[in-house]
Amino acid sequence: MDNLQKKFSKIYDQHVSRIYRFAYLRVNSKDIAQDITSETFIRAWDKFRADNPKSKVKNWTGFLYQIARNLLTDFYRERGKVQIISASYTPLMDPSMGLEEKAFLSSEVEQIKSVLSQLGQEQQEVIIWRYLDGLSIREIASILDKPEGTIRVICHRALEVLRKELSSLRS
Amino acid sequence: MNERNLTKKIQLLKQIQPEKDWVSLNKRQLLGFEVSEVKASFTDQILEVFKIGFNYKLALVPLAIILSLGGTIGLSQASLPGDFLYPVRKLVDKTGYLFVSKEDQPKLGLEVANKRLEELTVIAQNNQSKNLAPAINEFKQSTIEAADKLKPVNSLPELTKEIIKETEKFRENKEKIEALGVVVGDTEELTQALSRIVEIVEGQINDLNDRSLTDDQKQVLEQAKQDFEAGNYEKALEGILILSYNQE
Repeated sequence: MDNLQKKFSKIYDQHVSRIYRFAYLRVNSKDIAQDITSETFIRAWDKFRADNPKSKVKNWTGFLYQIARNLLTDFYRERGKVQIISASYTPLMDPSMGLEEKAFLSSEVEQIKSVLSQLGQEQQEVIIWRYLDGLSIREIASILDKPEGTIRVICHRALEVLRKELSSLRS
Repeated sequence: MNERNLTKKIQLLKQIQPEKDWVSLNKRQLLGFEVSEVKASFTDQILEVFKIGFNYKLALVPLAIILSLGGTIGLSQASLPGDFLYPVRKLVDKTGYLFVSKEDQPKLGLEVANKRLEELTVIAQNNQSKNLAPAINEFKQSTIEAADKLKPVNSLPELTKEIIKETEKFRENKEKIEALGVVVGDTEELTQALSRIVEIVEGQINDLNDRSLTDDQKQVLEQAKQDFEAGNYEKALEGILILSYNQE
């Protein structure tokens, strides 16, 4: 394994779960999420190998999300769909959990997934990056190429929608 | 529902993970190697530590030290006795002895003494009365050191043109400072050492006088005598050296 492979391998290990989750939450399909994740890393690996000092990628997290985002856009454009409903479903729970606990967690996760899918694309992305992946407002602003203030507003509005939707589900 | 609870709920989605087998297979297809290879070997980790040494940020530290040291030494060269940076200049001069051969040390000793005399001249010319006393002290110390370094010079092979040159320069500098009305005091040790240098030249001339020489050689010797009497010891030594080598 050469030095480039080793370096990229680290980037892969650090990001593969996040990119997969990001894709999965957008397409709600294990197979499509895997395809998009694979393609994201193929493109990133090509860029990594051809990287010259002048155009060196400084933020691989942002760069990978950009690729994944573009692929998702292409995917929706090709299919002409807003949401894919897939029969496949990835088990999310720890197998050691009790049945009752699994059922409760499943309902909780399904609830939040369902509510998240009702948000617009940008709001979904901002919520995933901010609250799931822990990206800073600045990083998100850089990925979306928008001012930090705009990202804060998107984030605030998305949280409001989520809160309302979750409350209505409970009631 | 407050923001904290909402955030907690969102974070439940972290449970969405790709299948481990797929992650591993995908990586193998992408990079062409096994996942287990990813863990850096001990050797790699050691190499990584060395690589850090080449990191430009760390490289700046020794560079900054070298530059500041170089800058201090450079600035110190313009300092005079009594100045803040003068001890650095003295230290640089002293360090010089470590880098020259034993044969060159007498010359270096005289060079340092000449430097001290030149500093003294500058101080006297600029009426820097505060610096005068430390400058005289520095000069005296340098003459003692120069005399010490000149001790091994007892015959012609040890005597070089450079030593003679520095000796002449020293006499000129001393005359200059005395003309400015500065009394440098007793420099007997060096005076004696320099007299001995002159005696070596004189003794060599006398020695050559007693030898049988060709007409051309006699002419060279005559010129050397004239130079010696005129106080031009360097030229006199030049003639002596030519004759000495021809004799051998």
